[in-house]
Amino acid sequence: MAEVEKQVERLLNSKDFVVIGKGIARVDSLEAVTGRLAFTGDLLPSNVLYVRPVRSTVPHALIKDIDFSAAKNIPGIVGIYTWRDIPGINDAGSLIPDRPFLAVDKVRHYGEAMAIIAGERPEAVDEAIGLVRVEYERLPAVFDPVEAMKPDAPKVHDKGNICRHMKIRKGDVEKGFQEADVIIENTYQTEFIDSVPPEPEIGLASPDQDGGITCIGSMQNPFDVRWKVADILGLPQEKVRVIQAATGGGFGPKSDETPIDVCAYAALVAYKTGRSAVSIMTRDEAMVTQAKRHKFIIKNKTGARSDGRLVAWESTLIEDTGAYISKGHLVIVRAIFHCAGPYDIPNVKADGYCVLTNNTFAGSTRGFGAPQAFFAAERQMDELARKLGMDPFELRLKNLLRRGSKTITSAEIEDDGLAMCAEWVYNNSEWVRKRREYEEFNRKTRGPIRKGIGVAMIYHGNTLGPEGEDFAYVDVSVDKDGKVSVRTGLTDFGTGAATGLLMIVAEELGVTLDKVRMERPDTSKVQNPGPTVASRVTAIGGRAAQEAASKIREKLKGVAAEMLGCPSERVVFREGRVYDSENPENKVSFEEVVSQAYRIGLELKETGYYIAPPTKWDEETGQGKPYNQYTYGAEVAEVEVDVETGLVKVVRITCAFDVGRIVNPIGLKDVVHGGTIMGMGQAIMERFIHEDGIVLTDNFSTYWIPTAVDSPEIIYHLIESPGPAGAYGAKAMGEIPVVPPPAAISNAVAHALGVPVKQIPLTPDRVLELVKRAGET
Amino acid sequence: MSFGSPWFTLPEFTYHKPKTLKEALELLDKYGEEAKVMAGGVGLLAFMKERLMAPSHVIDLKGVPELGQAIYKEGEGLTIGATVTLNELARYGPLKKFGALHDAVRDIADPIIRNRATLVGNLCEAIPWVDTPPALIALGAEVEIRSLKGERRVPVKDFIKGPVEIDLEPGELVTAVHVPEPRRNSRSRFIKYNTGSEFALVSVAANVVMDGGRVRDVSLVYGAVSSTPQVAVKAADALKSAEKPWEVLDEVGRIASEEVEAVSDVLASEEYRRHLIRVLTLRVLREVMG
Ligand SMILES: Cc1cc2nc3c(=O)[nH]c(=O)nc-3n(C[C@H](O)[C@H](O)[C@H](O)COP(=O)(O)OP(=O)(O)OC[C@H]3O[C@@H](n4cnc5c(N)ncnc54)[C@H](O)[C@@H]3O)c2cc1C
Repeated sequence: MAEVEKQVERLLNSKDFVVIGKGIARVDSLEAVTGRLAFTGDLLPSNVLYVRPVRSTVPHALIKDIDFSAAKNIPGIVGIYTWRDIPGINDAGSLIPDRPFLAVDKVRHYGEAMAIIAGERPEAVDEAIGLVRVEYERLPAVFDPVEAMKPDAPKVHDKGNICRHMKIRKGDVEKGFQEADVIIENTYQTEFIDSVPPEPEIGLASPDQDGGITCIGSMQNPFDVRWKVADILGLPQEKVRVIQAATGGGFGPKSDETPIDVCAYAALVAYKTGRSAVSIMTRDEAMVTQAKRHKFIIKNKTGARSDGRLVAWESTLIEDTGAYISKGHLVIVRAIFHCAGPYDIPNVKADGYCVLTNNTFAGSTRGFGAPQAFFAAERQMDELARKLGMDPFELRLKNLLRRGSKTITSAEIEDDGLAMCAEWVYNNSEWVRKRREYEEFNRKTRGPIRKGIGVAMIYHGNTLGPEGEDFAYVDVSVDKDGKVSVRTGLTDFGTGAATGLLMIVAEELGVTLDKVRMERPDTSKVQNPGPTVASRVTAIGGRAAQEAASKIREKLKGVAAEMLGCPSERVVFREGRVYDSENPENKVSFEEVVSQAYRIGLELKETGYYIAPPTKWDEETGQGKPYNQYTYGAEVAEVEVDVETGLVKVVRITCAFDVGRIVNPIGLKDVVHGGTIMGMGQAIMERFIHEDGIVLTDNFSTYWIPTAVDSPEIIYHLIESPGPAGAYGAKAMGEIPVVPPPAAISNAVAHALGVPVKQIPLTPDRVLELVKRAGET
Repeated sequence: MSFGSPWFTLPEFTYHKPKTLKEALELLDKYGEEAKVMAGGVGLLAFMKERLMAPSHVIDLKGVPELGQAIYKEGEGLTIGATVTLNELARYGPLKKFGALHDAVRDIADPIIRNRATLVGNLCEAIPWVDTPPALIALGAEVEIRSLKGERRVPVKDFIKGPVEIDLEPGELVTAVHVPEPRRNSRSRFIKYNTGSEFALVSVAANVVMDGGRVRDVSLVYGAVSSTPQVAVKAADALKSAEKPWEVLDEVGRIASEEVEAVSDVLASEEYRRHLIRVLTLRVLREVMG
């Protein structure tokens, strides 16, 4: 019965696509690899001024005095500016105005900007920065979020350090634990991570003739940049124009506050001097200041019946957001909504705290709190399986969210995507055989290698949900010659999202992809489409693109009907041809129809708008429907652990994701590969170290990320169980593949060594500790 | 503490590309401490961008033909000219006779870097974690040095005096590295340990001469553990004096891990490095004695 239902649903949802679902290489890839793509750094005018901030070298201090006298005298220095020179509002916080653009009398983290220096040559600016003398009065500081929560902890801001307490209350957790046959309790920890987009932040600002400023930069959200730059300069929004140049990677930080910083440094100088100015971060500056992935400490207490049924789950999540909130108050929400894994649990209690410390600030990073939450939840499931003497995969299957199950917010699950992912991975990873074989191998081996296999399952609430209004605007216009232009403030920063939007427009208009082009995002040309975050572009932006293109198609239909002499319902647009469905030989070209439309004075320019249904939940209990749909994933990781050196090698990842609708299979392949490798970095390599607030890992020589040679074999499968909110049923996928690897890989390592893993990354020294513990037990 | 290396620009300098060794030596003599010689430039230009070096004259050796050769002579050994790149060397057949060096050269960075970077540059850079010095020391290699005043030869072991510090006077340059013919019944290997495509956390080179079941001679050299390559003398003695060397490998590893200098840094603790020294000593000895 269920099978038939599934088939019927598939049939109803199926559509004969021409462009959608075909593998298309990113439309800008040829330009990118041949060096023709214009990045901000390629666009510097010859007389540009170079701008760089003077940054604090201490994590928490009063600024008693800054002496610029020696710096001023360096030949080529044009200006030195402090908060006193800011014409508008001295704030660069992207959502919450808590972060001074230039520090006034206090710095709260290492690397905070206190002044900016502009000069004719970068060397002069650098030399000048080295000569600035700052007199600090050190303040007591706090670097541990648990310490920071104590009432007598040093305060990072005037208010307390806990900036949000988020709650889930479902059922009766006490009663649930009473009904449990086994209860386990563990504390897990993750670290700060920097997502190191290949291109560090850069912003170029030029004065306009009418007193405005134009900024060109590397960013995800031009409208956020415009808003803050205008406020800092005290200009009306229309006086600031922001254009996103080709952008070398985003990963979240480029939607956060550092792109605002560089554009505003440059804009302030352009405003003061009337000249073009550019601010470019070096790698170490970017790594110190850009928004990090949050460090989490998560305590999970779990109760189950002896048959494995989960009956109660209690979590406490502590999130270190650093010295400024940035997106920390939203990341805690996503983390808590996903803290109990993708399981049907009747009784849940969770408390999440977003906590300020004097570490450098954390904010948006691909996955937005989910990788940390699933690491803790999925490790906990393996510990529970061990306690119950059950196979961890079986335990999960028993508790999986399926159609009709209720999430921890009591929202009803409407599809079986997760079960389909789980089933595929179970079969294709050869879970049962390998689990047994590796245990056998580890028992017999006399060499240093131990093998392990681990699983993780996830669901990921789609797009913004509780994080903001989930809307998008996309404009489509058709020129006289039939060329189609797509314009939006949604951005592509290496994700391939623009290609997806173009495919959708081509599909709707029935033209080939080469006729469709994307214009650069420019705040003077389009409306604010909402942020490019939360894996929104294809799913939500796609709906707006679909609407704009279909409006134009409907207009053209009338014209074509007249040309073909058939009723307009029979007009078909396909691959550049327009024909009568009952007589395909009766046809005209798309260009001919467009040209006729122009002749009769039709305007072929439409704005598509889409807003996802609002999501609701109760602030006190977290109960409700925080997301419109979920992306699902199941992943199996296989590892080899060298017990003598502690080195973990991830050999193979077998994963399946329910993406709702495959818009571009090549794009999805890249997203799965890249995300998996990035997630692996979090699992075994990447460890961003603050020592008493000072960053020790500010470049690639000390902060090691995976490269091609570290990549495992990746076997993946995509499932299409369409969701209600996205274009053609598409679900969010940009971030999602980064979520399961920390959980799956650490479960595999725990399997290889036979001891619990409670902390990532699993760097060799930590693995050796685990080996030692394994020997002791 | 300043944030970031100064930008993407190099400091100003005059570039020279001499065509003969004599011309190169004259330039070097003329500019003395103001000059730096350049081979691949992989290291030099990076140091200059970071303003760790700011020579006003850069003398590029790549135009001097006689520095660009690797020559092996049976019975004498291998002489590697100053501009021979790591990839040229890796492809040079006779390199296989020098196991440890072969291992070290093949594993450096990636093919793009190896196409530019030279062996002599790698050695002269003398940063603590580069790969070729431990292998060269284990193989008993010597550095050939020239100036207008004449020439001299120094064992690699003595040539590296400290981190980024080599035994070179103003006016001198390295023309080649000479690796002697491996002794009979000898075998050498190099193992680099890291967690990915990175610089070594610890590396070890071993060169043994076997004599029946015993070890007649052995050299054990460690890289990336301290500011200069470390030679484990006591561990080598323990191995040489053992009647049944296979039975003392654990002990040899332990001695090595205790006798050499090892440091803590952001990448690894001293304790972890010492642990690795023990593990890798065992591994490398099993390979060369097997
Ligand atoms: C991304 C990256 C990864 C790397 N990974 C590794 C690695 O895994 N292992 C490793 O060992 N190294 C690694 N390196 C370092 C690299 O191998 C060295 O920088 C390179 O070998 C230097 O050789 P070069 O020919 O470019 O030297 P250059 O840069 O030309 O010179 C280096 C130094 O030696 C001096 N010098 C050069 N030739 C002479 C001469 N004939 N006489 C006197 N002085 C001279 C120069 O003045 C300069 O000070 C890496 C470097 C990079 C950038």
